[in-house]
Amino acid sequence: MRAAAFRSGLRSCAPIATGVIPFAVVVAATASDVGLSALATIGLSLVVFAGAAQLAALELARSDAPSLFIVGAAVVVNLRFAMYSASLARHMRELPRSARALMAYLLTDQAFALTVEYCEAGKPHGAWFFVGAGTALWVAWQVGTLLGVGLGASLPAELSLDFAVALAFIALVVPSLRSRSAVLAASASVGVFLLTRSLPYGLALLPAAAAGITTGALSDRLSA
Amino acid sequence: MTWLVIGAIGLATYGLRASFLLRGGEGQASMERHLRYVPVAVLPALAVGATLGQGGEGLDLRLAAAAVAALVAWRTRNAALAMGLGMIALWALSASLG
Repeated sequence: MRAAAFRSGLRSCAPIATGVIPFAVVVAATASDVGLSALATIGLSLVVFAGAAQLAALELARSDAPSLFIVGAAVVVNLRFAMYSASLARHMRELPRSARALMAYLLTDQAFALTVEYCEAGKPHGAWFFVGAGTALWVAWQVGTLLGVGLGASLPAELSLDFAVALAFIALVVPSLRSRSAVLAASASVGVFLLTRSLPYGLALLPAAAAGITTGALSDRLSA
Repeated sequence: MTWLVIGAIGLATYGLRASFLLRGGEGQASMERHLRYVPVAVLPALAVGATLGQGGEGLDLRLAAAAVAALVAWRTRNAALAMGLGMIALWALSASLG
């Protein structure tokens, strides 16, 4: 049963993980461009394993920002992981602490979204599903990083490979917009995001998330 | 970017990921009602941000291709198909209009 849940996680995440490879290639190529050694680029993907934060940090490093600023930007971009962590923790309470410590390293947008959907459908062994999905993403991310280190700047910009990131987010969220509360939450989030988009370092994500969560919960409560 | 900075980003990121997972306390009903909406409140903003990118050239092509992907994802719930057709739409549009 556990093995089945793990395989199900791998399978569900495989297409999205494949779509993440081009993003990893782009991030690794950016790192070389900014002057990171091949080893440091691979280290960054292994240690951080979070594309948007890696990209934000690299762009700041390119403009010679102070180290504290670079770390701060990555933290802001990754604040959503604390929300995911809280949301996922509800489904993982019965697990030993060591298992939850490992799961935390594998926490990403994609593995989180797929696992919440899986758990809320009442399916068993959500943790194994999560580890399966997280493993698929992790392998894809490291493979993409190696490809990016190898290919470097030789990739033609006309391929627009970084657009695969947008497509991955769309493919993840659109199927879950089935209830009125979910649609309202998403609309509020996008509206506030567009209004606050001029904020630096992806900060707009925070007011957008707050607006979306509040709207969804409120609508949920009113319709209950 | 030094190894010290890479390590610091890694530690901070792990801390955020582990924050609530390791604590593992009981949630309240109102907290749970809010947390349920985290995915639909965060992912659409990430999708819009990634689609708009730095704006500028090719923005309308990216919006059109994103709409194709969204429609396919809505109708089929098939992530691979949605992403594949979205990418093909972008390439086809750039080739014919760009």
